[in-house]
Amino acid sequence: MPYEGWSDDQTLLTELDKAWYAAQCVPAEFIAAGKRVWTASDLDAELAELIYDSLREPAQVRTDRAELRALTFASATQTIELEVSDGGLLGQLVPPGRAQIEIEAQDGGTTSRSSDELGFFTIPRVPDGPFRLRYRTDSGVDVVTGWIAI
Amino acid sequence: MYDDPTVVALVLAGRAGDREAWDQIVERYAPLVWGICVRLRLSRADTDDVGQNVWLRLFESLSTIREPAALPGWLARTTFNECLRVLRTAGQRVRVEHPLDAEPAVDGGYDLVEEELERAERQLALREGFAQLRPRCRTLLSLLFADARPPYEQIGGQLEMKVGSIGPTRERCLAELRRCPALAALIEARSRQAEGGEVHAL
Repeated sequence: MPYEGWSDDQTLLTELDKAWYAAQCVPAEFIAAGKRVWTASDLDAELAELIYDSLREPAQVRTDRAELRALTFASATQTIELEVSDGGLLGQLVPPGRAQIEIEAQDGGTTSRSSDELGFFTIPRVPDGPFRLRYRTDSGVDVVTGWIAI
Repeated sequence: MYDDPTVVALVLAGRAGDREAWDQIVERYAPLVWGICVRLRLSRADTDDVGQNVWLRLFESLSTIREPAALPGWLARTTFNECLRVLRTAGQRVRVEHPLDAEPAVDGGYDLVEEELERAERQLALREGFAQLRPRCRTLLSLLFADARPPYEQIGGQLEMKVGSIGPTRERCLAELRRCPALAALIEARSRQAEGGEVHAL
């Protein structure tokens, strides 16, 4: 156990050095992103996780139009499909229905969109940095996706 | 795992809506989350992804955590599981491109989580202990463990200290560090654990 070594001055000093170094290695942005979760979170929202990303698929099964990026998020009850198109995003909520959608950027900026009765929505411009979607369906389900950057 | 009184206070304050407490939780345990991702060789983008999900899950669980002292263990396991999720997705790609490769096995996952948890708690205690030292001790020790340790003459000059007293001062500062509450609690908990530890569930 390292603790027995702490009775030795040189070992303790080396351990202190390592402890300091370990904290220095963590990028400030990684910590800042964690802190931002507080402001952007809502305890009632269901988390929809990324379950499919065309970028992470094997090259062999990609179409020639490899630039076409498609993503799927899923929570316990909801699925969101996204497709990058002409610098914007096309989205589909499953089950389909009207919802108010917020596009939340990591810097705190938000944009609002609505889906139609078939659950289809568009986001004219892909946000520059990491972002996530949060929406509330007319039936009252609150969903937030994981963070993603396109 | 040991009962760190600070973490219990932070969880309770965070639950009550204290934003500062949340920030401190993230600062204290970001090296734990980061360290596990590094151990599993995740890319920076995947590490950010894991981090986001871990903090979001923690935020969601904050009000329902039954045993706040078990938070570090919970964070370590959640991070590990999030890493596996990312590796599984990447693994599908690896398998097709290199069909002979086996599934990305993460052997000894339990050991890895325990090791990283133990290391993170130990290093956190050391950093907090260090932060509680007198400024003079902090300056001296940080000069001594610097990558390129300056010669004693230079340290002595900087601290207006005789070269001959650097050794004894170093000894006193390190003794102070061992006695500080953060380290003393950890050392005591580890010796108790050696006699038969307790296991917490969150």
